[in-house]
Amino acid sequence: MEITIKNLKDIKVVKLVGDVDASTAPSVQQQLVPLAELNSKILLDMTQVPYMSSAGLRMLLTLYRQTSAKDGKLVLVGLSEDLQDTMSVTGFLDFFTTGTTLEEGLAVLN
Amino acid sequence: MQTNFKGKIMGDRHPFKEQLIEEIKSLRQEVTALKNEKAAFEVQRKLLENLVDTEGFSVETEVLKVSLQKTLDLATELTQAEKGSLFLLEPSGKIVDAILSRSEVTPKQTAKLIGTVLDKGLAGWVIRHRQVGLIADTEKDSRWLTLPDQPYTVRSALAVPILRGEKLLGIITLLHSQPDRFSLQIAEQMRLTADQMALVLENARLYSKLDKYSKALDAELETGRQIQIDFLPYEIYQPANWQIDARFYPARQVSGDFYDTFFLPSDNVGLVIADVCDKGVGAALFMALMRSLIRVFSSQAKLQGRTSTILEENQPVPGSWLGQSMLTNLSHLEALQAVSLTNNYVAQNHWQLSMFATLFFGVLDPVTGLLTYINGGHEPLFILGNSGIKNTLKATGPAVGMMPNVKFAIKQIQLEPGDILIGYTDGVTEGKNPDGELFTNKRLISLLEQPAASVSQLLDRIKTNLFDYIADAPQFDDITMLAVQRVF
Repeated sequence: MEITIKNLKDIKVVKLVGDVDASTAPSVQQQLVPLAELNSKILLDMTQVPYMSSAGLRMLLTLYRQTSAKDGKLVLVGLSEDLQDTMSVTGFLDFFTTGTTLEEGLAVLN
Repeated sequence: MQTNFKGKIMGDRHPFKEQLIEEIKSLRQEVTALKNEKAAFEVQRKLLENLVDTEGFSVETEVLKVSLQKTLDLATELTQAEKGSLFLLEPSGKIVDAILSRSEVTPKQTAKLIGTVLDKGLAGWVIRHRQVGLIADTEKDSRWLTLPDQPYTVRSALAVPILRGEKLLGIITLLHSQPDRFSLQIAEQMRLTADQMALVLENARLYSKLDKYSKALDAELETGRQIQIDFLPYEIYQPANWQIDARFYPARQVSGDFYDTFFLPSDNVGLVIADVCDKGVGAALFMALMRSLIRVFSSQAKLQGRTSTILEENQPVPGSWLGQSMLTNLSHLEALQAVSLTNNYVAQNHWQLSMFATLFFGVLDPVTGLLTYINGGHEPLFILGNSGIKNTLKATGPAVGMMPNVKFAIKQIQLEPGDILIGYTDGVTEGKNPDGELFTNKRLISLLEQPAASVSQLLDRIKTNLFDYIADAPQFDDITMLAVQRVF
């Protein structure tokens, strides 16, 4: 699992590369949760996440709760078709803001 | 030139001879050194051969003790010592085990040594100084402590600490009744040997520690597994004219999957299949919580408000209820409140953990075949008729525990005689073969499309195909299936 975090003005752009499952989710969470500060804008680029297990969804839910609690915004982009299906069935898509491309995600946050 | 040469020879006759003698001397020394090196190498080889075999054995095992005994015997033989001993020590210098050469000491005598502290004499000196103690003649060395009434008189002694970094793991002592029996060469050989032994001993200690820890952990998990099984129904509830069966294959000792079948006081049957997010102990704890909350809430929740308003607000089919009896409809609705109550309980009390479960809860009237259900973010369930899949029971709301106060829509469907309701967790469709490819929905559906004689046969068919597919690849996720058939 590779995690790169860049700042684009006031937006924290996080790029994940690799599967997010029970073995990788804890370290992803550990690195991402501190990004949720007051009014922070986080863009999570998952274009290169081929697979996400329920442990990954749990990580997303934690991140969502932390950003919401601090009046921040979280946008997910580049979800694979499988992941969109899973997030749709489990109801996650109803709560998360998503976009297709990085540009689209940035536009939502700006 | 010749003259010069001759002259040189003649004139330098004396120094030349000395030079030759010097060269021969140095050659002899070299040969001796080489011989010694070869001997040392031979000693090392023999000792190592013996020691390497013991990797992966804990300090307590007989294998290691036998090997240490052999190593000591070899060391005694190679140094031509008359007696040898090997003490394994605690950091304090207390003996934890004693091995003596040539098995001349009884277990009783060994037992007597264990627990004593080596703080005196040569051993005490070696322990304090952490270096090789070589005594050429005990009569001329103050480090040697002569004890009264000893049947054996020692004159030469060599004591070598077994050191690993700063840690003293043991001490080897070699003795002889004649003075000057151990050379510096031998002392050096034994020091090298002790280094190798230290490595083996430390390995054995670490292995033993790991082994104990992992056994304790395994025992704890086994207890957890037993208790978790207790959170699954002891017996699958079998109403008249119905057949219900389930399969449960956790990926680890404990799991987040569960199924439940139980009798409701309203003469209905509760059917649950669920998958708590993530894996292992955390998921297992939440499995126990959610299973219990669903069971308790479903038999105790009471609807509040006007019956007509409640029925109107919760219509499972747009514009109407499928059930003929409003009493049955109400009792199903009442039981299904367990889902939102459980959802709010988990989301409000455990929000910090972000745990949730995909959960299907169906309430079945076994007399009429009416099924009222909530699918909280779970994989679709299927109703199979004579010609395959008749209906797909998709999610009617989000996963349970994810967000407080969300709405879980209810649905109703009629199970006809012969129909099978089948539910599964994603461990089935996401089962991976050795190439990492998923079992997929497609494979599952093709198995569901073939007629089945009974629910057991259907579940066995899926199980066999799935485990054949996974083959020798590790099972990543818990696998659970629940099937319900209306026989008449």
